[in-house]
Amino acid sequence: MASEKNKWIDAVAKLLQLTQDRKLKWDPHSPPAYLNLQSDRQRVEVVYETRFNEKPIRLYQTTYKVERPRRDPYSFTTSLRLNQIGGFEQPELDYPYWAKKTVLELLDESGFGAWTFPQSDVLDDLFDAVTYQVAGVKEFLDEILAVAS
Amino acid sequence: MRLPMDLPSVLNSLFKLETFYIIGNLFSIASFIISIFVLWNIRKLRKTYGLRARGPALIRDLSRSASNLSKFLNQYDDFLPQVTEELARAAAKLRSLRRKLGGDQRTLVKNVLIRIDQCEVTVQNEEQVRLVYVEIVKVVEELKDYQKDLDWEV
Repeated sequence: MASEKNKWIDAVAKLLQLTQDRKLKWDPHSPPAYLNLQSDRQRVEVVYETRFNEKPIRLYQTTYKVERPRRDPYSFTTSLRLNQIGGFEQPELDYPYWAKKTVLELLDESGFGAWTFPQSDVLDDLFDAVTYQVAGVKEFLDEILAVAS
Repeated sequence: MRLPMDLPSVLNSLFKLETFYIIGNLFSIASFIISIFVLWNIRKLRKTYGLRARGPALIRDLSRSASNLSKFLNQYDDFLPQVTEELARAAAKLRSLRRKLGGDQRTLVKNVLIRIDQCEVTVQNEEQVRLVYVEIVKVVEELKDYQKDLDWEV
Protein backbone atom coordinates (compact mmCIF):
# COMPACT_ATOMS: atom_id res chain seq x y z
CA MET A 1 0.00 0.00 0.00
CA ALA A 2 2.75 2.42 1.05
CA SER A 3 4.91 1.56 -1.98
CA GLU A 4 1.90 2.01 -4.29
CA LYS A 5 1.30 5.49 -2.83
CA ASN A 6 5.02 6.26 -3.08
CA LYS A 7 4.89 5.47 -6.81
CA TRP A 8 2.25 8.18 -7.27
CA ILE A 9 4.27 10.61 -5.17
CA ASP A 10 7.35 9.89 -7.32
CA ALA A 11 5.32 10.46 -10.50
CA VAL A 12 3.91 13.81 -9.33
CA ALA A 13 7.34 14.83 -8.00
CA LYS A 14 8.72 14.19 -11.49
CA LEU A 15 6.04 16.47 -13.00
CA LEU A 16 6.95 19.04 -10.34
CA GLN A 17 10.63 18.86 -11.30
CA LEU A 18 9.85 19.18 -15.02
CA THR A 19 7.62 22.19 -14.26
CA GLN A 20 10.26 23.86 -12.09
CA ASP A 21 12.92 23.18 -14.74
CA ARG A 22 10.59 24.83 -17.34
CA LYS A 23 10.53 21.60 -19.36
CA LEU A 24 6.79 21.25 -18.90
CA LYS A 25 4.70 24.29 -19.88
CA TRP A 26 1.26 24.72 -18.39
CA ASP A 27 -1.51 26.88 -19.84
CA PRO A 28 -4.39 28.41 -17.89
CA HIS A 29 -7.95 27.73 -19.13
CA SER A 30 -11.49 28.38 -18.01
CA PRO A 31 -12.81 25.36 -16.15
CA PRO A 32 -15.15 23.08 -18.10
CA ALA A 33 -18.80 23.64 -17.16
CA TYR A 34 -19.21 20.24 -15.50
CA LEU A 35 -16.72 21.20 -12.77
CA ASN A 36 -18.97 24.05 -11.62
CA LEU A 37 -22.36 22.37 -11.93
CA GLN A 38 -22.94 22.59 -8.17
CA SER A 39 -21.36 25.98 -7.57
CA ASP A 40 -23.00 26.28 -4.14
CA ARG A 41 -21.02 23.22 -3.01
CA GLN A 42 -17.91 23.19 -5.19
CA ARG A 43 -16.10 25.84 -7.21
CA VAL A 44 -13.18 25.83 -9.62
CA GLU A 45 -11.81 29.21 -10.75
CA VAL A 46 -9.17 28.16 -13.26
CA VAL A 47 -7.64 24.96 -14.60
CA TYR A 48 -4.10 24.44 -15.91
CA GLU A 49 -3.41 22.03 -18.73
CA THR A 50 -0.35 20.52 -20.31
CA ARG A 51 0.69 17.44 -22.28
CA PHE A 52 3.15 14.86 -21.06
CA ASN A 53 4.19 12.33 -23.73
CA GLU A 54 1.15 13.42 -25.78
CA LYS A 55 -1.13 12.67 -22.83
CA PRO A 56 -3.27 15.65 -21.76
CA ILE A 57 -3.16 16.46 -18.03
CA ARG A 58 -5.31 18.91 -16.09
CA LEU A 59 -4.54 20.46 -12.71
CA TYR A 60 -6.87 22.60 -10.66
CA GLN A 61 -7.75 23.59 -7.14
CA THR A 62 -11.32 23.06 -6.09
CA THR A 63 -12.95 24.87 -3.20
CA TYR A 64 -15.66 22.70 -1.66
CA LYS A 65 -18.13 22.98 1.16
CA VAL A 66 -17.72 20.63 4.11
CA GLU A 67 -20.98 19.86 5.88
CA ARG A 68 -21.27 18.58 9.45
CA PRO A 69 -20.92 14.77 9.32
CA ARG A 70 -24.06 12.84 10.18
CA ARG A 71 -23.86 11.17 13.58
CA ASP A 72 -25.43 7.82 14.17
CA PRO A 73 -25.99 7.58 17.96
CA TYR A 74 -26.43 3.82 17.76
CA SER A 75 -23.18 3.15 15.98
CA PHE A 76 -20.47 1.88 18.33
CA THR A 77 -17.67 3.01 16.04
CA THR A 78 -19.17 6.50 15.65
CA SER A 79 -19.44 7.04 19.38
CA LEU A 80 -15.95 5.60 19.87
CA ARG A 81 -14.58 7.98 17.25
CA LEU A 82 -16.40 11.00 18.67
CA ASN A 83 -15.26 10.35 22.21
CA GLN A 84 -11.66 10.15 20.96
CA ILE A 85 -10.15 7.65 23.37
CA GLY A 86 -7.10 9.20 24.90
CA GLY A 87 -8.69 12.58 25.40
CA PHE A 88 -6.96 14.35 22.50
CA GLU A 89 -10.08 15.69 20.86
CA GLN A 90 -9.85 17.86 17.81
CA PRO A 91 -11.35 21.32 18.37
CA GLU A 92 -14.96 21.51 17.23
CA LEU A 93 -15.22 23.03 13.76
CA ASP A 94 -17.81 25.55 12.66
CA TYR A 95 -19.83 23.79 9.99
CA PRO A 96 -20.24 24.26 7.13
CA TYR A 97 -16.80 25.48 6.12
CA TRP A 98 -14.95 25.74 2.83
CA ALA A 99 -11.83 23.65 2.16
CA LYS A 100 -9.44 23.39 -0.76
CA LYS A 101 -8.25 20.33 -2.61
CA THR A 102 -5.83 20.05 -5.53
CA VAL A 103 -6.84 17.69 -8.29
CA LEU A 104 -4.59 16.30 -11.01
CA GLU A 105 -6.25 14.27 -13.71
CA LEU A 106 -5.44 12.51 -16.93
CA LEU A 107 -7.88 13.57 -19.61
CA ASP A 108 -9.56 11.52 -22.29
CA GLU A 109 -9.87 12.67 -25.91
CA SER A 110 -13.06 14.64 -25.22
CA GLY A 111 -11.41 16.56 -22.38
CA PHE A 112 -13.11 14.81 -19.48
CA GLY A 113 -11.16 13.68 -16.45
CA ALA A 114 -10.47 9.99 -17.08
CA TRP A 115 -8.26 9.31 -14.08
CA THR A 116 -7.64 11.29 -10.92
CA PHE A 117 -4.31 11.05 -9.10
CA PRO A 118 -4.50 10.05 -5.41
CA GLN A 119 -4.42 12.93 -2.93
CA SER A 120 -1.07 13.90 -1.41
CA ASP A 121 0.75 17.08 -0.34
CA VAL A 122 2.94 16.94 -3.44
CA LEU A 123 -0.12 17.90 -5.53
CA ASP A 124 -0.38 21.22 -3.66
CA ASP A 125 3.33 21.80 -4.30
CA LEU A 126 2.82 21.06 -7.99
CA PHE A 127 -0.06 23.55 -8.07
CA ASP A 128 2.17 26.21 -6.45
CA ALA A 129 4.92 25.51 -8.99
CA VAL A 130 2.45 25.77 -11.89
CA THR A 131 1.02 29.11 -10.70
CA TYR A 132 4.61 30.29 -10.11
CA GLN A 133 5.40 29.43 -13.74
CA VAL A 134 2.18 30.78 -15.28
CA ALA A 135 2.30 34.03 -13.30
CA GLY A 136 5.94 34.51 -14.39
CA VAL A 137 7.17 35.04 -10.83
CA LYS A 138 10.77 34.11 -11.70
CA GLU A 139 10.96 36.70 -14.48
CA PHE A 140 9.27 39.26 -12.25
CA LEU A 141 11.80 38.67 -9.46
CA ASP A 142 14.70 38.89 -11.92
CA GLU A 143 13.33 42.20 -13.29
CA ILE A 144 12.95 43.69 -9.82
CA LEU A 145 16.45 42.59 -8.80
CA ALA A 146 17.91 43.97 -12.06
CA VAL A 147 16.32 47.38 -11.37
CA ALA A 148 17.42 47.32 -7.74
CA SER A 149 21.04 46.64 -8.69
CA MET B 1 -7.26 -51.22 48.10
CA ARG B 2 -4.29 -49.45 49.63
CA LEU B 3 -2.79 -46.28 48.29
CA PRO B 4 1.00 -46.29 47.78
CA MET B 5 1.26 -43.24 50.09
CA ASP B 6 -1.21 -42.05 52.69
CA LEU B 7 -2.39 -38.42 52.91
CA PRO B 8 -0.15 -37.19 55.77
CA SER B 9 2.99 -38.45 54.05
CA VAL B 10 1.92 -36.78 50.77
CA LEU B 11 1.33 -33.50 52.62
CA ASN B 12 4.63 -33.87 54.42
CA SER B 13 6.50 -34.31 51.17
CA LEU B 14 4.66 -31.31 49.61
CA PHE B 15 5.24 -28.85 52.43
CA LYS B 16 8.97 -29.31 52.48
CA LEU B 17 11.18 -26.25 52.39
CA GLU B 18 12.51 -27.16 48.91
CA THR B 19 8.97 -27.14 47.46
CA PHE B 20 8.49 -23.58 48.71
CA TYR B 21 11.82 -22.61 47.19
CA ILE B 22 10.73 -23.99 43.84
CA ILE B 23 7.33 -22.29 44.02
CA GLY B 24 8.96 -19.05 45.10
CA ASN B 25 11.42 -19.20 42.24
CA LEU B 26 8.65 -19.91 39.75
CA PHE B 27 6.67 -16.90 41.01
CA SER B 28 9.77 -14.67 40.81
CA ILE B 29 10.38 -15.69 37.21
CA ALA B 30 6.70 -15.19 36.36
CA SER B 31 6.61 -11.75 37.98
CA PHE B 32 9.83 -10.79 36.18
CA ILE B 33 8.24 -11.74 32.85
CA ILE B 34 5.06 -9.84 33.75
CA SER B 35 7.13 -6.77 34.77
CA ILE B 36 8.93 -6.82 31.42
CA PHE B 37 5.59 -7.13 29.62
CA VAL B 38 4.10 -4.24 31.64
CA LEU B 39 7.18 -2.08 31.05
CA TRP B 40 7.04 -2.80 27.32
CA ASN B 41 3.35 -1.88 27.27
CA ILE B 42 3.91 1.33 29.23
CA ARG B 43 6.66 2.35 26.80
CA LYS B 44 4.37 1.64 23.87
CA LEU B 45 1.52 3.60 25.49
CA ARG B 46 3.81 6.53 26.26
CA LYS B 47 4.94 6.66 22.64
CA THR B 48 1.38 6.32 21.35
CA TYR B 49 0.07 9.13 23.55
CA GLY B 50 3.10 11.28 22.83
CA LEU B 51 2.42 10.88 19.13
CA ARG B 52 -1.30 11.43 19.58
CA ALA B 53 -0.73 14.64 21.50
CA ARG B 54 2.14 16.16 19.50
CA GLY B 55 1.94 14.18 16.26
CA PRO B 56 -0.59 16.30 14.33
CA ALA B 57 1.32 19.56 14.97
CA LEU B 58 4.69 17.97 14.11
CA ILE B 59 3.34 16.41 10.92
CA ARG B 60 1.77 19.76 9.96
CA ASP B 61 5.10 21.55 10.51
CA LEU B 62 6.96 18.89 8.54
CA SER B 63 4.48 19.21 5.70
CA ARG B 64 4.98 23.01 5.75
CA SER B 65 8.77 22.50 5.59
CA ALA B 66 8.37 20.22 2.55
CA SER B 67 6.13 22.79 0.92
CA ASN B 68 8.67 25.57 1.56
CA LEU B 69 11.46 23.40 0.14
CA SER B 70 9.38 22.89 -2.99
CA LYS B 71 8.90 26.67 -3.30
CA PHE B 72 12.65 27.26 -2.96
CA LEU B 73 13.25 24.64 -5.66
CA ASN B 74 11.47 26.97 -8.13
CA GLN B 75 14.65 29.04 -8.07
CA TYR B 76 17.08 26.78 -6.25
CA ASP B 77 20.26 28.77 -6.99
CA ASP B 78 18.83 31.93 -5.42
CA PHE B 79 17.61 30.28 -2.23
CA LEU B 80 20.53 28.17 -1.00
CA PRO B 81 20.64 29.63 2.56
CA GLN B 82 16.88 29.26 2.89
CA VAL B 83 17.08 25.63 1.73
CA THR B 84 19.73 24.92 4.39
CA GLU B 85 17.55 26.54 7.05
CA GLU B 86 14.46 24.63 5.98
CA LEU B 87 16.30 21.31 5.98
CA ALA B 88 17.51 21.99 9.53
CA ARG B 89 13.95 22.80 10.57
CA ALA B 90 12.65 19.59 8.98
CA ALA B 91 15.42 17.57 10.67
CA ALA B 92 14.43 18.97 14.09
CA LYS B 93 10.80 17.95 13.55
CA LEU B 94 11.86 14.51 12.32
CA ARG B 95 14.08 13.98 15.38
CA SER B 96 11.17 14.85 17.63
CA LEU B 97 8.90 12.44 15.73
CA ARG B 98 11.52 9.66 15.83
CA ARG B 99 11.38 9.61 19.64
CA LYS B 100 7.63 9.01 19.50
CA LEU B 101 7.67 6.28 16.88
CA GLY B 102 8.53 2.62 16.72
CA GLY B 103 8.84 -0.08 14.07
CA ASP B 104 8.69 0.73 10.36
CA GLN B 105 7.79 4.39 10.84
CA ARG B 106 10.82 4.95 13.06
CA THR B 107 13.10 3.34 10.46
CA LEU B 108 11.57 5.49 7.74
CA VAL B 109 12.15 8.70 9.73
CA LYS B 110 15.69 7.57 10.60
CA ASN B 111 16.50 7.03 6.91
CA VAL B 112 15.28 10.51 5.96
CA LEU B 113 17.37 12.00 8.79
CA ILE B 114 20.44 10.22 7.43
CA ARG B 115 19.67 11.61 3.96
CA ILE B 116 19.33 15.14 5.36
CA ASP B 117 22.62 14.81 7.28
CA GLN B 118 24.39 13.66 4.11
CA CYS B 119 22.80 16.34 1.92
CA GLU B 120 25.13 19.19 1.14
CA VAL B 121 23.29 22.27 -0.07
CA THR B 122 25.35 23.51 -3.00
CA VAL B 123 24.49 24.75 -6.49
CA GLN B 124 25.49 21.39 -7.97
CA ASN B 125 23.44 19.41 -5.48
CA GLU B 126 19.89 20.34 -6.49
CA GLU B 127 19.07 16.74 -7.38
CA GLN B 128 19.95 15.53 -3.89
CA VAL B 129 17.89 18.26 -2.23
CA ARG B 130 15.00 17.26 -4.46
CA LEU B 131 15.37 13.63 -3.36
CA VAL B 132 15.27 14.71 0.29
CA TYR B 133 12.14 16.76 -0.44
CA VAL B 134 10.41 13.72 -1.98
CA GLU B 135 11.45 11.55 0.99
CA ILE B 136 9.97 14.09 3.43
CA VAL B 137 6.70 14.12 1.47
CA LYS B 138 6.60 10.30 1.64
CA VAL B 139 7.20 10.34 5.41
CA VAL B 140 4.43 12.91 5.86
CA GLU B 141 1.98 10.73 3.93
CA GLU B 142 3.03 7.61 5.84
CA LEU B 143 2.66 9.36 9.20
CA LYS B 144 -0.73 10.78 8.26
CA ASP B 145 -1.95 7.25 7.54
CA TYR B 146 -0.37 5.97 10.76
CA GLN B 147 -2.06 8.76 12.72
CA LYS B 148 -5.43 7.73 11.27
CA ASP B 149 -4.79 4.12 12.37
CA LEU B 150 -3.88 5.35 15.86
CA ASP B 151 -7.30 6.98 16.24
CA TRP B 152 -8.82 3.50 16.35
CA GLU B 153 -6.30 2.01 18.78
CA VAL B 154 -7.14 1.90 22.47
